[in-house]
Amino acid sequence: MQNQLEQSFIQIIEDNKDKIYRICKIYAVTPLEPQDLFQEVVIQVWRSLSTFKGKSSISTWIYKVSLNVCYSSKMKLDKSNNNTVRLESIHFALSENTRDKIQKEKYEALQACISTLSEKVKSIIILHLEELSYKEIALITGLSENHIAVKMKRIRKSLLKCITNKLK
Amino acid sequence: MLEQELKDIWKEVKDVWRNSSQTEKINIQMSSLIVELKSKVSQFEKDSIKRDIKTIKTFTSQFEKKSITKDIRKIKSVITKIIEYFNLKK
Repeated sequence: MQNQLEQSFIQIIEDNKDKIYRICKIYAVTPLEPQDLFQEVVIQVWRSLSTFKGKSSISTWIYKVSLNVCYSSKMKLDKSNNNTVRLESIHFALSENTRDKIQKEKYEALQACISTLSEKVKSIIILHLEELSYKEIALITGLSENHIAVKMKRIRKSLLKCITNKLK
Repeated sequence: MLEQELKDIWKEVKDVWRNSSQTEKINIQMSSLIVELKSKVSQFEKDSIKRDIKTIKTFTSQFEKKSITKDIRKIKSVITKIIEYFNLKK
């Protein structure tokens, strides 16, 4: 049983590491690094996997855990309570596929615009960028599908306006 | 902005988002990660529980001290009243 759980854990982390990292990058604000947040998410997945009941898909669950951990880590940092575990088996290396300057600028504009949003709106837009359906976003955020659909139109418009202004 | 123009920009934003995890290669040594999590996380949790118990103990003992003092004061006052009552009867 334990071995089965460990195998599932390995598979889940391997399959979802990129999406976890994307979320961590958005929430990381100095002195928090995306790598620190990534570790926190991995630890939380490890701690909670045995309690995962399968009511939602594993992917939806991972999004929920990642958003919660990233948000609460920021809160913990605000309270200067940064007792964290450091995992040596996770390494980050600069990819050869380094983006060009324009791509970097575009990402920074996107990041800056997302950071101005409220926590709820931020999680909606992140999940939308991850191409989740309104139904899945509703399941993760606890909002209704209708509410998200209405909100999404407005958020998308204001986000595009913000990005365009930043890139001018 | 035209509808099509908005769609194109949004598509580009989505691409930028999707590629944002490609700047770094995440290398995880899974077997050692499991070993590490088993040792470090449980130790971390033990330490955390110890810290919590210490905090609870400090606050509880402080609360208990105050509560005992309050009770003694009440008992004292009742005894004084009883003594006064008997003194008056004499």
